[in-house]
Amino acid sequence: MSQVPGAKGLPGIPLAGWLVSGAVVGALSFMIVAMSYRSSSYDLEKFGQLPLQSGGRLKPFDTLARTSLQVITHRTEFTDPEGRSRPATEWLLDVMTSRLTDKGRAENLKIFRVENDQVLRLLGVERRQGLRYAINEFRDKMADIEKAAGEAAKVDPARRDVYQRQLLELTRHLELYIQIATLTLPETGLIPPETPPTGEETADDRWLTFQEAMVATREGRSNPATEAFGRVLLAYAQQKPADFNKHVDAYQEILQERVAAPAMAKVRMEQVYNAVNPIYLACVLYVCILLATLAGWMMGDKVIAVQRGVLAATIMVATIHTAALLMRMYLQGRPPVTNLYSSAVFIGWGCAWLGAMIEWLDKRGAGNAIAAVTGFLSLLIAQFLGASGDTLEMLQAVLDTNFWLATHVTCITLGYTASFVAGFLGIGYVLWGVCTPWMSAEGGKALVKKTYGVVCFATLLSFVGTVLGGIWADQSWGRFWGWDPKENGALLIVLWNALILHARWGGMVRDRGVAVLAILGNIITAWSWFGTNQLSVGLHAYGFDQTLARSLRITWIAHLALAGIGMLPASCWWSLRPKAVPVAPVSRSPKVAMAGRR
Amino acid sequence: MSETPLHAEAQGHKPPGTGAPNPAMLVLKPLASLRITVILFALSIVLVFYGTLAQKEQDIWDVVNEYFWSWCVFIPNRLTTMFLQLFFDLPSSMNAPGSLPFPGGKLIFWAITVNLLAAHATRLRVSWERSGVLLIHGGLVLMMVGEFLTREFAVESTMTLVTGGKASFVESNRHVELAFIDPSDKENDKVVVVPGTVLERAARTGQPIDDPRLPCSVTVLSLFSNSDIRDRGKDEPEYASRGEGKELTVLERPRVNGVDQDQKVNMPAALVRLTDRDGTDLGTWLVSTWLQLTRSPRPQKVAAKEGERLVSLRFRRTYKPYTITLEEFRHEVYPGTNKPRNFQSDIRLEDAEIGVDRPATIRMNEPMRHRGETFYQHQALAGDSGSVLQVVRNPGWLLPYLSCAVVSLGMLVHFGINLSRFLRRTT
Repeated sequence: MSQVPGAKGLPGIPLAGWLVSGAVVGALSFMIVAMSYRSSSYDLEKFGQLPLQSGGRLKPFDTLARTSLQVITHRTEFTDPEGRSRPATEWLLDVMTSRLTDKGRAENLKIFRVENDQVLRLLGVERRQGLRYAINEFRDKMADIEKAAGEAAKVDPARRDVYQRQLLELTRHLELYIQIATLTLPETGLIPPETPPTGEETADDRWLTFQEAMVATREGRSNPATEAFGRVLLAYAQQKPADFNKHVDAYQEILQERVAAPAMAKVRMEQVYNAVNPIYLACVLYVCILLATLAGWMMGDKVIAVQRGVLAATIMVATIHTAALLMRMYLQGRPPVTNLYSSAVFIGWGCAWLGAMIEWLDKRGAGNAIAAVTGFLSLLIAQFLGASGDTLEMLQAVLDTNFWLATHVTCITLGYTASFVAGFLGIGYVLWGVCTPWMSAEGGKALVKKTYGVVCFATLLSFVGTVLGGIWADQSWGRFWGWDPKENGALLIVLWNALILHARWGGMVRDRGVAVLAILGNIITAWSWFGTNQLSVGLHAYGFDQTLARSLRITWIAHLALAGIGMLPASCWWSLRPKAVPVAPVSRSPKVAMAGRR
Repeated sequence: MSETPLHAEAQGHKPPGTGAPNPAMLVLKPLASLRITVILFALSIVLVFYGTLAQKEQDIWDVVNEYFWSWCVFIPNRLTTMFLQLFFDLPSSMNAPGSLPFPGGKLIFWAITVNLLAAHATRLRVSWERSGVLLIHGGLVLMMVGEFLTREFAVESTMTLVTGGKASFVESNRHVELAFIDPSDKENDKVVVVPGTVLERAARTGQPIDDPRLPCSVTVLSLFSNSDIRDRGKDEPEYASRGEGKELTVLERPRVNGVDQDQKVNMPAALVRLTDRDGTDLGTWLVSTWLQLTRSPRPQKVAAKEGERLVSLRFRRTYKPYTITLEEFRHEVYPGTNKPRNFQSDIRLEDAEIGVDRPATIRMNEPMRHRGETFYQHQALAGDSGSVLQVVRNPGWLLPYLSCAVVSLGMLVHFGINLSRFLRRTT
């Protein structure tokens, strides 16, 4: 590698670059995390760290609060009547204690998100900015809502219209709200069983629902945990912060006797993870990197020096991303990819590091741009996928194998990653060449070479991943290849990448062709990642799938358009138009220089 | 790419060295074209895509036969409109009739093989630089051979066991047979079966099945490839005149498709008229795989002149020299949920012929192997009353492993050579 002068330690990035980028990334991170901190006289953090058992695992109240609020209002915070942003745990406490007090605080919070005009009419409320409504605003219409929802539910899911879908979604949200208010969440135990911890095994004991615990108390089998938890809720209902904090401490002491220390530590760690939200942090920082990269391109001859500095920042953000991934792995005790959400986080992670590697070789900002764009987009997709519930859920029996999750799933997801990176490099090439006059023959060629390299990488990973999947299938039900939709999806990626490589080796496509084919590859990868899932859910049109289908449609059309632009004749390419100045003499031979102009 | 492709393949257009052109080369050269390779890849992508879409309507096995294991397939235009309806909001009233012919999996596979072999015969010289390519292509051929062996020789069947019960036969739930059982011998039943293919032909032609080995002749009045049965309502017509079927109604159901989450197996049924050797009408019988569920078999007795026979439509059985007893079945869930965490069958395997009598555990991702067969945990019977094992015999099971290793190695070598060349050039 050629070295930038003054480079010590890591090759190519001067110390000043590290320092400046470190300061900027550090300051931004601090700002972003601090901005999400909400103070309260109640010790909400401590309450948020208390464990409960839900979906087969121990999780903090903080997670329950965030996932529930996310489902209902599409945010992990809410706005109180005074207009301040408040944390999800406060909302959870408000709702859980709503039956212990007549203040009606929870009922007046505007959290139910309703978009459809017809549904709004049914609720008897006016359309307003933010589209969020409090339960008290439509309390008297509950019977009507129930009746209308009953009718909508009778309609075949495939034939429901927007109104019916949104109405049913609202009733699901109301149901969740009522379950929280009455402490009757399904598959959720709030009170730990009365057995001392026996190592890790404690996590396997079923916790009592609040009702079961109450019944036990009434029957004279008093459980100190039930009483302690009850006192926490009562203190909150009576608005006595000092008592609340005291009782939370007391409850936590009881829990420490009943839950093994490592499990408690994990639950606490999960609350910290939620509070820092490194995924969101990385997502925002990727945008900053993109801006810095764009600014760097305006710097004229200083471009390499600036892009080296940005590379340092890219590496730091990718490290934050890595930390998030490692933390999730620790919390779940699993390899990185276990569901669709984590596949998005992992793809983003792979893209970011691959981008950083490309930048390390390329030095002109293309890698930074790739890392920033793909990192941002995949984390955006992750945020969207995570909105439907717990992202650290337990796995179905057939998936309960860390070995195959670690090998097959990781490998195939890295294959998706590399295919996407190749696609975005292709997009970069097309936009650079068509929309700007700055693509030199040499620069364009270098970019396509990188694309080609990444396609090779993608072929290898997706092939190995696909075959490992076959071996897993052979191990678990005795069929190496079954032609099922997901397998076929993976096969398509392998075939497409092989097609690109052979087309290039045969001289059928040159620079522009490789770029266009790589762009079209994104269409196939998106199909394998999401399209095949959509197919198996079929026409069951729940809200989420509709959004997914729409996103896929937009993605596909956008990529087709970009590929179309890439196929415009050379005369339409700004950078390829004949210029008065002869081709730069940097190219090795006149022949190569001409090739770049084609 | 530049005028000089990274790979020498494209230079094959120039005559290799001096000397008179070999006539075989004149034929092989055009066949070895990379252009053909790329076109074949494109065709296979389209085929795989439609083969995936087709699973929305068809059983996965039908799709495999029609699309991937055929010379030519007629892809219905309906699939295209369905795709557009799913993802592009095309109105659901849109309907495109007709279909387009397309090369099937077999044709594309052979074309690729010919193309590949021709390429190796004409262009791809054996050299260190080419070793990666050779490994990749060799491994792929091996993989195809493995797939062929699996397709031709692998047998997949299931063994259904009630807790505490034993079985010494497996069933293939893709085939049915009509069985007549003579239970008169206390030790062993005597069984005569009519294979499903014969039933299908008889249903088509309306000709009775007459065979001296059968206790009576069989006329297939109707055959349902997937069905449901339920108790007959008061006003509904009687389908069967005798046996259990008198009180039942049979409903035809569409064949299961590849993406169906609820039902994976077709449950056939048939209405048959049985006539005794001397021409006496033995009645019309409803036979169905539903009546043969291991958990609640409902045998039907036919009084033929030869003696009493049990008649049933059942999944094709193959008898094995070993016996498996299900001692315990475990279905564990995550605490406080219904989410399955583990399915596990604790069994005893007895094989007197080779003196085996041992306990074994079969669970998710941990199969048991015996006599060239592999036993996988497949399903739980309703109410966890027992377990279904998948039993697979596949003589080609090792090939995918081998070919995968070869191809992966080849890719590492090939891309490794390219990468190191690229890095050398960069510095």
